[in-house]
Amino acid sequence: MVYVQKLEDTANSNIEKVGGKAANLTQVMAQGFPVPPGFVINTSAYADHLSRLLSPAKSDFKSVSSEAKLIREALMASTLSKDLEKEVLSSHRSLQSERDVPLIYAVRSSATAEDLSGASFAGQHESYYYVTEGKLGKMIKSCWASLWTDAACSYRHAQGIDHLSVKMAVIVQEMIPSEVSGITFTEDPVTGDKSVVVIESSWGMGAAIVDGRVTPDQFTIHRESRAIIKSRISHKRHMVPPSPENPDHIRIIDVPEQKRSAATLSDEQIQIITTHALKAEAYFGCSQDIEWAFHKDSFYLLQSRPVTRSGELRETLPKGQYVLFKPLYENFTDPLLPLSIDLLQMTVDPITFIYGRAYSKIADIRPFVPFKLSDWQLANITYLSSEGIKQLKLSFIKLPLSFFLFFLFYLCFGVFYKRTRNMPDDFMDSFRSKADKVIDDDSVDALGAIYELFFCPSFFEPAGNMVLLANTSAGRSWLLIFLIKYLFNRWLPHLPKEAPSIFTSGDEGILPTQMGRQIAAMALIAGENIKVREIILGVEPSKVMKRLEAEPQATPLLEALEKFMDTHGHRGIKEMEVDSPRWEENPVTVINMIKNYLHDHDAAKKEREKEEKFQQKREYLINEVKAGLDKKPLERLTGIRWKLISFLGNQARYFIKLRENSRYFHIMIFYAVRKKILKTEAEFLQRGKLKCKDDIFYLKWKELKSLDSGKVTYADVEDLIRHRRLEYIRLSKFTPPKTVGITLPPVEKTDHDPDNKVLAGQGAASGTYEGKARVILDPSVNATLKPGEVLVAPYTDPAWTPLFLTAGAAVVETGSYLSHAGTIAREYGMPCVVDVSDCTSLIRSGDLVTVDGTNGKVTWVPHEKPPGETS
Amino acid sequence: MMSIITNTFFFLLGIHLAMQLIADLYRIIDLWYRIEDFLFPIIRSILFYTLIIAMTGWYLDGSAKHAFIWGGLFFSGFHVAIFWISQALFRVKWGRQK
Repeated sequence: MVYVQKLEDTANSNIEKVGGKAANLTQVMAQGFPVPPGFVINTSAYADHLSRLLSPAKSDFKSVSSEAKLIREALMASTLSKDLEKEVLSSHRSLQSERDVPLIYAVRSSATAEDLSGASFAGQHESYYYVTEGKLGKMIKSCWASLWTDAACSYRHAQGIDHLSVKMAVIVQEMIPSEVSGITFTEDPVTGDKSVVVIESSWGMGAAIVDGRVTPDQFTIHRESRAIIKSRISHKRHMVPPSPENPDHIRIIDVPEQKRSAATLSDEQIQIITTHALKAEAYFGCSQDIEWAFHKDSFYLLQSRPVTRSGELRETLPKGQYVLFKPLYENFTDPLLPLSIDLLQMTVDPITFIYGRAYSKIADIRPFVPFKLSDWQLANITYLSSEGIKQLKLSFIKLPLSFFLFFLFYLCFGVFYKRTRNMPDDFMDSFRSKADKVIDDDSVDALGAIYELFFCPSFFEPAGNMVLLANTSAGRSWLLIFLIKYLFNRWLPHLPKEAPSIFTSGDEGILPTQMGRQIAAMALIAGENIKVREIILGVEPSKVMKRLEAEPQATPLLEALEKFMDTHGHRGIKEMEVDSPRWEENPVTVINMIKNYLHDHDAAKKEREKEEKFQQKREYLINEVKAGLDKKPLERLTGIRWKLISFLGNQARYFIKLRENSRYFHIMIFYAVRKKILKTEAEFLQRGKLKCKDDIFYLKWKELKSLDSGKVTYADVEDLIRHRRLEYIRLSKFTPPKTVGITLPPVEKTDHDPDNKVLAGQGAASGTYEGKARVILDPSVNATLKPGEVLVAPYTDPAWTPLFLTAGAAVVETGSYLSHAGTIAREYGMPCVVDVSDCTSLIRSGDLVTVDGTNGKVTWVPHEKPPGETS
Repeated sequence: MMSIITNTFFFLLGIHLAMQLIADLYRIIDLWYRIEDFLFPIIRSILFYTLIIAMTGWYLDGSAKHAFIWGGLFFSGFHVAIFWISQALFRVKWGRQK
């Protein structure tokens, strides 16, 4: 055969002939690894086919971008030569003759330029799965056409690779209907530890892990002794079934309940995988990342390639200088999904997304700042940090421009700022019905919902319907707190450091705080009934709702829960992310919060006592302030200083409340957008335009529109989705730098000394507390926090509020004085330190932690685990 | 020089008072859902600023009076214009993305 050769044909397996991927597979097969059978359509087939399509004049071109689309379309519209068709069919029949059931293939691109040093071509070329005999021809052409996508052309252009020098072979390989599959690294892909082998596995086909659709089980094996050092069995909700009923329709299904929390691999299987992985590493001479599958107890090696560390990102950084956008980052440290980024980028111009996170451009901020500041100083100020800045020097040259910009800002927003002063607590309630109206209006899509609710109010719209502007106007609280701090230092220097934070807290009507109290009230209802209490504490979370619904004595709790959902059901974890389920979709999260309370009979009582104690502390401070001011000249006669301090305090409390409450409402916009997206997703799944749930979140808006109109099909975006999922996983493991394009000088935090178990951060709520740490990374997965434990979290948003009710103190990796964690901790009168780098990785659950919220310091004593206890 | 400073001051005062009055008028819409509770303070505030504006305008004369009136008129026009311009820009952008 001229164009097609068997995968195991080592004689013709050079990269020029069969591409990088196929050459690698052939080598692995030659070493006796059990690789699924298949055949390769070599690069000559592609070259001959393309030469028939391109005239000699056209094949001379150097710059291909304008021609790429034409070539793509020509390739797709062409028919395979009779010779090639015959060879493909004959190879298929030869394989089919050894099987009883019709073969299903994976059709994968194997380009000659792949895996060249410095040019990985990761994600540039397509692969297709579940391909039947009838679709082989089309998918082979699709693989060829993927060499001419805009992205692939741009990549070659950037790498200085001649477009016509790259050729494409296509691998057609049998898909193994695996019961269990996974990937294995012969070193830790995150830390680079070479003494271990890391196996990740899940039920069904490997696509679920490789595409990042499930959190797999993870086993860490010691390389030398082959002992299993650590095993983490995950809750696996989805799987790609070995034989989907209709691969053209939906390809992902729910894992049966009994298998979700079960280990996917036996010890024997773990040893088989480890042996093969180490053998592959020995052959290739470097750490390997292998894909494997088990079918009827037989092991199959699907791919072997060098390990790429998760920290090694290939992000192309934009030109300019950027600083992490803290107001978003302190509520949400994970990267945003491609659809969320795209929707935000389309609507919010000043934000740039790098590493999946929002960054502000320093050049946009500089004109507003009338001080002499270097880039890194401005970056620190923008990041709400005063590190390295001792004194601000006014720049008289910049002053007129800054003044003009502020004046313009005042003209544009002055009316609204005045409208939102001293409004009643419920003035934004009308936004709920506005959001509901937009949700119910089928003519408004997700993008329209953002515009309607965020940016396009009518001229006579009440202020309560403009929640984003209300949130901006609440920014005045910064200035007020600064003034209070300044006046306290000037007039009452003897007051403790935490005085301003105590003085500006204690306002009623903060919605997230009320939400927490409602959960506490539900816990009281649940705790009063032994049966209900037992169900919540004893039944598996996924079944608890069904059990409660079947229990007549649970009616009062369910009624209270329904009422709670009417008001707070739009909330959830990571609520600015469109794929994040809301509480009304998954009430179990709220039940878990009630459960936290039920661990301690006296939790509610202790909570009340804590609040009363804080109230007393506040009253004591007010008296101390008054007494201190009375000693000042003319104060007894006029009371002018107290009036000023009191006015500033009231205003600061009001605007802190406005900030939290407006955030509570503008989250409804993301809720509305999610509803719209879910509706589109259901429609696409039904029409076969999408085949897997959640894939929609990895597409961009224009791609969704193209799918809808039929300009592109699922096959065109399938590989793109897979690569974006993998990129998302890589970005999730990556801590984004505070700045891009600016080198920050090393800042010495005098108290920061992880070796001596001391961490420094910003004190956001005063007081000192000692207790056992509970590290919670995602409250929707594990929200168990026993009363009195110290909450250690990567970030917090309002959905974390109920955890603050039972916590004794909080330590948060990001945040600032006015972040959600700080505001809520002050309201609950508990110490809180924010902006504590690496606290979630250094502190472990069970460690004894001392939180000094006044000085922004955290110390901890590691908890010694009893023998046999695993993490 | 003095008159420039005075005129600028009264121009800015005109802007500020117009802003205050417009904000107070908006409060009727903002608090309509509880108008029975807030009608009296709203009307009191509107009357107060109307009176201040009228008295200032009546008391001033010459270029200061003109600066004050122009400040108020400028802001009223600016407030309406900036709203419609920003809305038009957003809607054009939205239309393009559709």
